Amino acid sequence: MFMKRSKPAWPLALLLLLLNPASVLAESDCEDETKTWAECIAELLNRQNDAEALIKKSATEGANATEVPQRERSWESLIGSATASELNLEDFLSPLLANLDIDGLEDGEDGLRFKRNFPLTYGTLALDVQAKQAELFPALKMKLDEMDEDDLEEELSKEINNLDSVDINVSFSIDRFGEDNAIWWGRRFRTRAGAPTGYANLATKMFMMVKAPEMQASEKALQQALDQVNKLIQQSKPVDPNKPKTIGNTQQDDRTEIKAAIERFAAAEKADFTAFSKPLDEKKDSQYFKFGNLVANQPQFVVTANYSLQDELVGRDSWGATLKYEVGQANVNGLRRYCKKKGGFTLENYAEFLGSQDKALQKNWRISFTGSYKWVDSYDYMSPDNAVTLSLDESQEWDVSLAAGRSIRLTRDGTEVNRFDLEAKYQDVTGDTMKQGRLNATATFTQQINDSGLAFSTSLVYSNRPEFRGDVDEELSARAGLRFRLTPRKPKDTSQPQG
Amino acid sequence: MQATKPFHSVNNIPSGATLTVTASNISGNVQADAHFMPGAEPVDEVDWTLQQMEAGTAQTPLPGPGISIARVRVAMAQGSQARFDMVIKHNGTQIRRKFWELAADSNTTARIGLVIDVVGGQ
Repeated sequence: MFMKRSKPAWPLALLLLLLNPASVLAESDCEDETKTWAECIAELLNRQNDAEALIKKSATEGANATEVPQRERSWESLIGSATASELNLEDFLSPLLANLDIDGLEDGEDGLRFKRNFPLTYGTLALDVQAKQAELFPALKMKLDEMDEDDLEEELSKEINNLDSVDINVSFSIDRFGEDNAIWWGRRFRTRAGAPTGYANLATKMFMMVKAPEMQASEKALQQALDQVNKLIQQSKPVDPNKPKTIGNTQQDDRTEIKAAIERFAAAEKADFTAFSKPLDEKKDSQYFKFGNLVANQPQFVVTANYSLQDELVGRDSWGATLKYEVGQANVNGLRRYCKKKGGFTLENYAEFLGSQDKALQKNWRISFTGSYKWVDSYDYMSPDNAVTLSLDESQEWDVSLAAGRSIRLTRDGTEVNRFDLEAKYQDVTGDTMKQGRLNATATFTQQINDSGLAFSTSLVYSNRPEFRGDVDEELSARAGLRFRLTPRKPKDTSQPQG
Repeated sequence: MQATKPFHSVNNIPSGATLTVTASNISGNVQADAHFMPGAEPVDEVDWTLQQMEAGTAQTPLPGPGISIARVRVAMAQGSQARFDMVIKHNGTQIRRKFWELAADSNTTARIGLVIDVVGGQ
């Protein structure tokens, strides 16, 4: 049995589509005559969403998020590199320096700790009080070992409490990023009160410049489409002037015209949202996100004072102060100076500046200078039976260090793959028989292994006084290590009584 | 999980009312802006274009009579959350309120908003 083939319907469908390409209204839309035109628009916008909607979480009044192509780069990655640097001086040098304890950075945070930042007019004051897990004073332990006083050593070790060693650190870092300030200091994107800083304002300005042309066009079209809808509704004639202007209470001719205008508005809304969602194009994107590198190279000046309070079984009281200055080669200050010369901050001037700093951004040189002073109190210990005595004079120590490092290779978006750092440090010690003035030099190569912070480092360390560098007897030694970034542990709540 | 609507319509809003849009309960990586149509200038400018968005408020007088639209465009990174409230007040009294709580399972953009039918003379 043969059936007669009907004519294909697609040419008619294509013709209808060509005649009315922006048709987004279904036949059932805006047909409920009891509804208002506002409800019709809301329905239509929702229907457009429903076609691509993926509900993420419901709420009492409504919730929705729609799935769209993934954005290629986020602001988080731009800002992250800068905000992570707040008062975090270690990031400036190779991470290995911290791992190997070369720079005197302490490892382990057993005990109680209190940390808080206080915003001040010209910067941020950071208070850090830490009561550490205490151990017997090494010099006393050595003396007891020499005298074979094992029982006394054990007895004294039992007397040590967890709060017998308390460190108090106060740091102040300069934050200056006002429009009137010729030089910006620090790297904060937001003040503690939440207001955006100069960096955030510049980045936002740039974001709007990049996005503005396409967004302005689509927003203008959207505005005009809504104006047309309102104009037609206003001009339309009601069937019954005494009743509210619902869809059903609009003359049929006017109704058709308003529906067509609403269709155009809905299509314009969709186009505008597409423009908003569209990722920044590749070329602009790569330059745009280099702003994060410029912020990370901003100068930072930090002064730290510390006081260490020790029980006589644990050690000696001491106080000290450190001054640290860090700066990178191509930074936001350079960009501002360049733009000022060129008549203002524009995308063109920004691109020109990046072009002029291309080599500097590739090398990414950073230097830091540190000067510190430490005073350690004298020490006198006598055991209850007078058998063991230990006396140490007070001592002072001056340290000066200069560090410089550069990237060896960056990814296309400016993420560092590996880097090389050099640090020279001179220590001048008086009054301490356990230490002596010395010069230390460290060369470190660091290779990032993955994005989650795993890095491999290797160092060559030179010292002109190897006898004070631990269990080595050569002037030159090599060290290697792996570094993991773990989720930071939350500080313990010091306001609660400790069981 | 229920199908909910990102746009709501509110009718019979008296001329002279004001609309406030507030972002709060933000966690993660959220970027948003508030867009008012017709294009009245918001009374309070909010910097919502930064990814690490802070809680903030934008307020605008509703032009009228006619249809106004308030829309928030949101880009969220995976695992982020935010809440957006829209409150309409007239002579200091709250007359309408809607809120949306968004959470993203993956990098997402979305828009939410109110279609407001403003009635009466100025």
